[in-house]
Amino acid sequence: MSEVEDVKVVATVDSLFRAHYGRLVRALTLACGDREIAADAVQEAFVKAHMHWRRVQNYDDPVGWIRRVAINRLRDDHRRQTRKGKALQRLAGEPQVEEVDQQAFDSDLPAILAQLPKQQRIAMALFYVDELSIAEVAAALDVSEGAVKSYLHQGRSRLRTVVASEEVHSDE
Amino acid sequence: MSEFHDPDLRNQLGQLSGPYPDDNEAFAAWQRRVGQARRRRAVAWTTGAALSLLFGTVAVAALNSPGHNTLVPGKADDDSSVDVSISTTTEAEDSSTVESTEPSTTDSTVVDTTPVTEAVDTTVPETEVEVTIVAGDGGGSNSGPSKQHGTPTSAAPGPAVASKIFSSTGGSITVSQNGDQLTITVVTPAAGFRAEVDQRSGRHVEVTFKSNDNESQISVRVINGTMQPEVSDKNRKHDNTVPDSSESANHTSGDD
Repeated sequence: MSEVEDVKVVATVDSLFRAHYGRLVRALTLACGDREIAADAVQEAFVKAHMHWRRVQNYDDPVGWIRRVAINRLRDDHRRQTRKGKALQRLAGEPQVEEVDQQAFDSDLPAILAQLPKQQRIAMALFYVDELSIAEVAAALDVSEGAVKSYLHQGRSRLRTVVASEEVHSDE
Repeated sequence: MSEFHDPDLRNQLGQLSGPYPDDNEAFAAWQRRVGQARRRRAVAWTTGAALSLLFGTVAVAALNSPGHNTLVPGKADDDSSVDVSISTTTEAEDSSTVESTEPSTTDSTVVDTTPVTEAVDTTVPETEVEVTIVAGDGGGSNSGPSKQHGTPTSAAPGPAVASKIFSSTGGSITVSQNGDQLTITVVTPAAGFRAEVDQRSGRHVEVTFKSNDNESQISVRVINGTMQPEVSDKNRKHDNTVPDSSESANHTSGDD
């Protein structure tokens, strides 16, 4: 690769990074409940984009590709952690208990959010925090738009009660 | 407006997501990771290239190694003596001199073949033949000379033929004797020497080995029915002729 092309590539990925990094980190923080893990996944996705930019830049939606890579990284981490936890439980001889992600927040909203299925959480995060459309969320999760609507409906129904009660408390 | 539009929920979830990260700090961290990824890729490519080169070199070396022999059918004629050797070889492997159990009727033939090997006389003596044969220099093999020794179990009656090897600094020759007639069957120049056959057959044979600095001459005659060698080594620069005794030059005896 020539030096001129290299500079051009870096500049293009740089602009994408500066434009989308913050939003992606915030959305995935909500999805996984850990800001460090979310930031690590997004950075890794941008590194891959940089290393394969000659291919990625020809995609219709390079940012969508980066988002999917980051989400897949989060899923891999989640699976790894789940397997590790189950293995430790088996070694300890304790009964298996469905693990619930512990949130670093004190309100009821993060606790309920943590109890949502992983796919619902990611859909909620992408729709409400990253402000993607339903079609974009469907593309990011590689599911149908109907499935995304189902995720959003179920997640919103559970979270809405908490949000409403907090609004009542704040009004008082 | 989407049915899922919910500003309150959006605000609550936005607060849970925390503030926007520091772009400059994140950008610097990302640049460091890109540098690490580039270095890893460079190391992987370099390692892969080095391994490919190594395996390629090993493969080429294996194909060119002396042990990688291929047979060339066209050279079969040169190895006619090998058939004789195989049929008569029964023992005495790895011995340079084969002793017969019946000395009075035993002759041994030691034939060394080299790139200048001439045709080996495979005439079978009346009682015993000991043969050392190397496949011809053809056949696709670049291996050095190898020897096979053998003692025949039977031989047809006929005139006695003896062969002897005579050595000098410049090389060695194998001479076969049939009555009063001598024939040079093998000429083996030493490294750096070239051979000149002055007299190939008759009652007297003679070979001269020459290098840039030295010259050796082996001359063999029949005296009283036995081969008597005369060997001289000479430094061509100082012109010092050092004649060797005939006995010391005789490497192999087929008459004892």
